[in-house]
Parts: sequence; structure tokens; C-alpha cells
Amino acid sequence: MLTLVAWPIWLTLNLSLHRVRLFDILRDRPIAFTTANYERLLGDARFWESLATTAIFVVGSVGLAILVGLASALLLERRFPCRGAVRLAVILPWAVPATIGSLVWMFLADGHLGLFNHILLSLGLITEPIAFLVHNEFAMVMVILAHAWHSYPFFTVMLLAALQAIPSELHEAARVDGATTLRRFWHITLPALRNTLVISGFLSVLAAIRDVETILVMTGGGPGRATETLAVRIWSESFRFYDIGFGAAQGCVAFLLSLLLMCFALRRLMRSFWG
Amino acid sequence: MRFAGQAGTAIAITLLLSTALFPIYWMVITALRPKSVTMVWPPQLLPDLNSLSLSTITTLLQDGPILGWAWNSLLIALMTTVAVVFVSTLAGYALSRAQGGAARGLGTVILVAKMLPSTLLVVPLYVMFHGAGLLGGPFAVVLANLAFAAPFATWMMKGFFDSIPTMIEEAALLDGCGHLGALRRVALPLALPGIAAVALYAFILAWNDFLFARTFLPGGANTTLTVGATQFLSETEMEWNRVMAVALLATLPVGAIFLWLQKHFVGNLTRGHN
Repeated sequence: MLTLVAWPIWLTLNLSLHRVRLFDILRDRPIAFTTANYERLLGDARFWESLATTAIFVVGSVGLAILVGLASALLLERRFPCRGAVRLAVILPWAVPATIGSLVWMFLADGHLGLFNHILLSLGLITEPIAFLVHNEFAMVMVILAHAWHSYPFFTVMLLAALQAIPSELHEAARVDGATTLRRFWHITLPALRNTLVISGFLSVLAAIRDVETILVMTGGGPGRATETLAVRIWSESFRFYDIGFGAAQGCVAFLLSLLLMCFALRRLMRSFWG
Repeated sequence: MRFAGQAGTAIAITLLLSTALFPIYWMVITALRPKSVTMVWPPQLLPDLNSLSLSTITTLLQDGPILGWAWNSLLIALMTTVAVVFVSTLAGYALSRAQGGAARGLGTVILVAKMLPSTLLVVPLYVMFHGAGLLGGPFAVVLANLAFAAPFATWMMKGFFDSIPTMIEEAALLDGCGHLGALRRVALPLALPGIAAVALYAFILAWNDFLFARTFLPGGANTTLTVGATQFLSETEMEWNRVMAVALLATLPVGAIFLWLQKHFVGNLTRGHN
């Protein structure tokens, strides 16, 4: 009974709160108008630019997060004093709201009072302060750094758990057989981490694609459009320029792209969902 | 060789720790410093302990819009938590107990919904809230948070209900309990740890939300802490000690929950500790 009653209610609720609305918007508008949005989209150089920006941001930040996460997981798995406390400290960036993390990184990268400038100046690497967030190239580096700082603890936790599941006999047997550290990492550790890497990497890619907080707070998509990813562009098109139809058209494209990514990983995820 | 390895580990760990902690340290220390220190070049890495005080924070609390923002954040986070727990418990229970292809299909829908970027939700939700006259009020943000959090919460709840044997409920049914009674009296008490986890997930998600509050609320005095902190940046002309003070206040609740619960939701971290 409960199943029969709660189910349709829930289905309606869930569906109505999610995917359907995307299409509702399109239905509310005359069809010709909708295609106009799409035609404009395809001919719009800014759209392709924002796709490229998204790709750079996602690959950069997720790649960096995976590297730091993997390195930290490998490191934290070793034995050393106060390991519990160190592990906790390393994943602490997770506890900072993304928006707030971005604010702190803005402060660090500030052109007048920022610490990065101070450090680079005192090391003699630069001769005068750089306003990082106002420079095309540096702004992208900064949003990538800020996003990676916030997202690497996820990989640390996931990979650490996966590392601890590797039987130590495997490593010992390989060591007896004369395998070097690098070879053991390549042939034992990495294959054992593959599933975890794929799933958490996939989730992080989706998170980076939809990230608006970091970029909107730090640069607002600028300078110019140097950090304007698709998600940021959808937002500013809709709520800064009030062209909701055009924003929604880009939303649909973004949805299709995410869907493609999803199909790629869905089988694996479904298995863990129903397994 | 062994010594070199240990030294390498120590250096790597120090590097890692400073990467992780320095931005947080800098936020806290800046919030506790007077303007006369934070607005001066070059920045001082180590604080003069005597000059640290809570004065920036207390002034902000007295005459800024901070308390209003905090109240909005709290209200939205609590309402979201209640709504998410309600929806995900019922849906998770139904999914866990239902059999067959329809349940599988619905599970797929949840999974797809879980992966929908929130940016995509914002535009249609804006139109709908506009139609419903909810724009500008906290309910719009609560509903948006619910839409965003419910799929994953349902997934979590399904997992918890899966671990409760159906036999116990069947016994309750035999003793004359209805389905809802069986859920309320038998399954729910057993699923309490799961409900707590879902509640925390929803609370943290709603507290940290930036996008929905930024889009659906008018801003100014009527917004949440996370959005307010970013507004503050332009209003105060880069008075970083005040900005960081707001940032610290916005971090504290979630940070406290994180530290309090670290053993549970990062259980792997301390396992194998010796």
C-alpha cells in the first residue's frame, strides 16, 4: 500500500522538481523562438569559447585534485606519529564552504595585500606585485587552484579507503620477488585504485562542470571572459542579462553533455547502486 | 636510506599540511586582527598575539546585517533538513521495499537526477517560483535545495532501509500493524542513524548553498551568510579583516559539525590507527 501511495507522489515530486522543468520552459515558449535560441547558440563564438574554458577548468582542477588526493592518500597511509590528527587536518578544506574558500583564495591572490605576491616578491621571483585575478592567464590558474584546494579531500578520503583494502601480502610478495617501489605502485596499487578513481573522478568532473560558486565569487567569469565556463555563462545569461530562453538553451546543451558523461559511467554506478 | 625516506615523508607531510591548513589559518588570523595590521604591506605571516581580538567580529555582530544573514541561513538550512528527511525517508523506504522493473527504472531516474548540475535547475526553478510567487522568500531557496538534495538523500536512505531485514516488519504486519504503522514503529527507529546522516547532509548542503540564495533572494540585508560574505567584499572596499570575519562565522557551524562527526563520516581515516 505504502509503495503504491508514496511512489507516485514521490515520482511526481521528484520528476517535477528535476528534469521535466527544463522542457517545461521550452514548451512555454513558441517553438520558432526556441530554435532561434539554438541557432544563435551554434553561431555564437562565445558559446564555443565557454565550452573550451569549461574544458580547461574541469581538466585542470580535477586533474590537480586527483594528483594531490592520490599523493596525500599514499602519504597518509604510511606510519608516522599523530597520523589520525594529520589525516583529519589534511581533509579539513572539505569543511569550508566553497564560497568561503573562494573568498580566502581571493584574499591570498589579491594584488595589493595578497600573500602570494609577498611570497613571490621575497623569493625574488617577481619584481612587482601581480593582480592575479585581473590577468587573463593567472585568473584561470587561481580559480583552478581554489577549486582543487576545495575538492582534493574527497579523493584523499576515497583513495585512502581503497588503499587500506589492498592486502599487504600482495606488496610483500612483490617485494620478495624484487619489484621496485615504482613497479609495485604501477602493477598493484594503481589497478586496485582504478574503480575508486573512475567513480570519484567522474563525480568530481560533474561537480566541476556545474561549479558556479568558485568562479562567480572570484572573478565573475572575467577578466573579460577568461574564466567564463558554461555553468557561469548560463547563470549570467539568465540572471545578469535576463535572457532566460537563451540561458535555458545553453542549459539544455550542458544537460546533454552531462548526459553523455553519465551514460559513460552509468553502468558502473548502477552496479554500485543495486549491488 | 631509511633515514632519507623518513625525512622525505616528513617534508612531504609538512608541505601537504601547509597546503591544507594555510588558507584556513590565514582566514582565522585575519579575522582576529585589527584593520591597522591587515591593510598594511607587507603582510605579517605570524601574528602578534597581543593584537589578536574578537573586536572585528563583535562590531560586525552589533551593527552589521550579519545576524539577519545568519538567521536566514539557519532558517533555510533547518527547513531544508526537515523537508529532505521527510521526502527521502518515504521515498527511500518505498524504493527499498518495492520489487521489480518499475523500482529499477525509478532508481535510474533518481541517479540521473542526482547528477543534474544545479545550474541547470536554477533557470527552470526561477521561472516556476516566479509563477508561484515564491521569489524573494526563503521557501524558494528551501524548495530548490530540496530538489537538489532529495535524490542523493533518497539513495542514502534506500541503503539504510536495505540493511533492515523485512522480516521484522512482516512480524509487525502479522500482529495487526498497517504499512504506515510498520514504517513508523519498526523501520523508522531502526533507521535513525541513517536519518541523522541524511539530516546532516541536507543541513550542510543548504548552509553552504550559494547559487540558489544568490538567485532567488533579493540580496542586501535579506540573504544568507554565504552570499552576504561575498557582497561584503565590494561594500567594504576590500576591508579584508571584516570579510574574513564574516567568512569565519559562515564556516564555524559546518566546521564544528565536521570536527564533531569526523569519526563517523570519515571513519576510514582513523581505521588502522596505531
